Amino acid sequence: MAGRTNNRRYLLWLAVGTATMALAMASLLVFELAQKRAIERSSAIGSDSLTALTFQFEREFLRLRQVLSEAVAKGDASDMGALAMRNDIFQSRLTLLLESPSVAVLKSREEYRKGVLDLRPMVAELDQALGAKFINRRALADVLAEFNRLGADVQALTQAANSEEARLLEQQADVMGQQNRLIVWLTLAQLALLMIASASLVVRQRRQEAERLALEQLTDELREAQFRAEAASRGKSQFLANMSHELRTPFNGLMGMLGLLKGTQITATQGEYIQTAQESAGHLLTLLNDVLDMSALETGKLALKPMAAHLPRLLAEVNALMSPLAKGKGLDFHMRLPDAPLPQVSVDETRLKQILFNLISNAIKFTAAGQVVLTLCQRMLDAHTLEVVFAVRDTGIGIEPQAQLRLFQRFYQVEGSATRRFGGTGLGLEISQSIAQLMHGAITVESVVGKGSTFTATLQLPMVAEAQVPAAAAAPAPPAPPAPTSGATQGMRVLVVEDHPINQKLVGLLLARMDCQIDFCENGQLALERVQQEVFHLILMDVNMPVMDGLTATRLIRALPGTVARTPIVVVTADVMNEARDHALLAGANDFISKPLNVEQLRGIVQRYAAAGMA
Amino acid sequence: MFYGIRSIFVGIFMAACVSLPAAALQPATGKVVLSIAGNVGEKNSATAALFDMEMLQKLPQHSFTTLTPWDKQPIKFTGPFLRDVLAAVKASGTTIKAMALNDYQTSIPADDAQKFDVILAYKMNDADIPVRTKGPLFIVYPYDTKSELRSTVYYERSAWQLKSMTIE
Repeated sequence: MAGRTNNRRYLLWLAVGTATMALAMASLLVFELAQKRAIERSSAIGSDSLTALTFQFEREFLRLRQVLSEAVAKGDASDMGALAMRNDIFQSRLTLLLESPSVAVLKSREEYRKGVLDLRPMVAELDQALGAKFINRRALADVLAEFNRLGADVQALTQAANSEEARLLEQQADVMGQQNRLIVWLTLAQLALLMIASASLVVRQRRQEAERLALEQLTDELREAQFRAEAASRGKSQFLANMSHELRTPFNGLMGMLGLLKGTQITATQGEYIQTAQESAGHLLTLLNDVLDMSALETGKLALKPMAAHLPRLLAEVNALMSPLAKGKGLDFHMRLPDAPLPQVSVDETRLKQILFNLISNAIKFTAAGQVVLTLCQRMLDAHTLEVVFAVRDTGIGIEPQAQLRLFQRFYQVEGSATRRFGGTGLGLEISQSIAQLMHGAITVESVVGKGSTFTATLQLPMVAEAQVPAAAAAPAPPAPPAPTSGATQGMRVLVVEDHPINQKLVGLLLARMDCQIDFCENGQLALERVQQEVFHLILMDVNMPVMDGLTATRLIRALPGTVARTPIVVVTADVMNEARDHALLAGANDFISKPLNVEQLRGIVQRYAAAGMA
Repeated sequence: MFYGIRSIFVGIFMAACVSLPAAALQPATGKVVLSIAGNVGEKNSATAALFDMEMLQKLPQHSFTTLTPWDKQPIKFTGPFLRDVLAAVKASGTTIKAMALNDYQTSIPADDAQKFDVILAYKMNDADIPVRTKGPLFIVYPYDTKSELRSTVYYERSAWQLKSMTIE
């Protein structure tokens, strides 16, 4: 605000200064024009100088008087022609004195009256005398006497003209001097103004420079602060990634062991306890996954991996998982699909399922009785884009309008008591919303308290040509050969590279069930040495290990000479961030599975490589 | 200077061809109003070419109206061009010395007669000019046609009460 006022003041001063300068210059111009005009006027009028006119007049007066004097003395008629000529010339001078504009200044003077005006009667007398038939000497003598008497006056006229001209010159010089002084003063004033203007410009420039430097410094400080904040955020994300690994490693053991325990001889009560423990563990895993997704979203590391997908199959999978949940609560869950066939679309199936699981499980969670319905609509946006609308409607408790607004905010849960009653991280909807946005869509909600809610996910999915989806796309890549017999894996040599004793034990037990021959190494370095001594059909490689990590070991094995370099390597890690998979494949691994280990997943992997390696 | 001389010759040649097929200068029969002495090829007396009013009136006549510093009103001047008069006497030289009845003398570059339509006026506002009003002959420049002519240099060359000229 102060800066704007300053600027306005500066502009005002600039305007005043410019106006003053312009005024001074205009005055100078006016003076100079006036001078020019004065000079022009004096040159136009004063072409004949006053002194020259009066001098010529006096000269002709004297010459006429001389000739007249001679004529009176001689009385000879032969001189009369010369006298008449002199008279004519004299009178031409007299006329000039009477009529020339140059003489105007002289007319007010006494000398002009005496020397010019009083002469006129005598000239008339002379004309008369010269015009007469006979020369009248007496008349000429009279005129001569008058001429003699006026001689002094005619001379006085010349002197008067002289002094008048001198006075005029002085006056002119005075005026010029005055104007010159004025011009000098105006020029000096302009100079002063110019100095002031440049000085104020310098001051302003300095002030602006100082302000600019201050701004620059502030920018630097802000950048520094931002850098620090980003570093802190990165630290936090790194901490989360580390924690995820740390949490998943014991979790792997816990869940694996629970699964094994379930297969042993137990009583019905014990089975119930184990079931509850497994459900709790599953819930804990969901929470953990939410936190990890959130941190990935926050750091922008959550990237979609769209692939050609078959929506009906995907929905069937969702149905298979959600139906038991609904049935368990005594709810009716069904899907309404459009009559028209659903075209192939390119979408990240895992993430789309995550959204649907989130919305449907929320609906089931908050509905005590009634039904949960998933309705699917489709609409062509253009030749390449399909808009798919998934609407999940329930007959649950509903959400208040105020709460609806904050529904997609982080950690928000509808009323405090609900947290206790329903549990959850409060991250699910925010994650789903973020994923929907990554799919060029959004999730919206409509709800009436006591009647139920409808969550609608609207997604824009690019369509793919039918041919691009393999006919056998019923299962996502990699295609697992359906050979669930343990025979295929019998005698298969598997090297498990794992530093954690519990995990070693778990993997060992799982592989033993498949009749594999198992060897263990505690780090990458040992594994690298081992594979050069013996032949293995498969290597299960942990990532985070002391001495040498799994990715380095994978790279080094791939660099070895001979067939050993082609040994199948499956990376097993608790790190489920997106990059973990990329890093593993980039290092040369054939596949990637995440902890906690899923028995079926592990079986599928082992069988696949058994079929490939032992054939 | 060289150019000036040549242009005078050209002027004379042109005048001889166009204006005055009969080159010889007739003797003055009336009252002599102008005598031209010095470097003149045609003379009708022992020392000079003499002109009476009738001879001047026989030359091609021209008129223009101009403001002069000596009067408040514009005046119409009539007479032959100065260059025609000079051609009539086959004048050759660079300077014309003009002399007036009152002994006023002025030098006119011969070029002026070619560059400007200088008139040797014997009529002002269609009336003869008496000696009392700057007559009988008046060298007049067309002051109104060019600003350079409205200066003391040309005002001084404008001799009135012209009596004689000497070509040098």
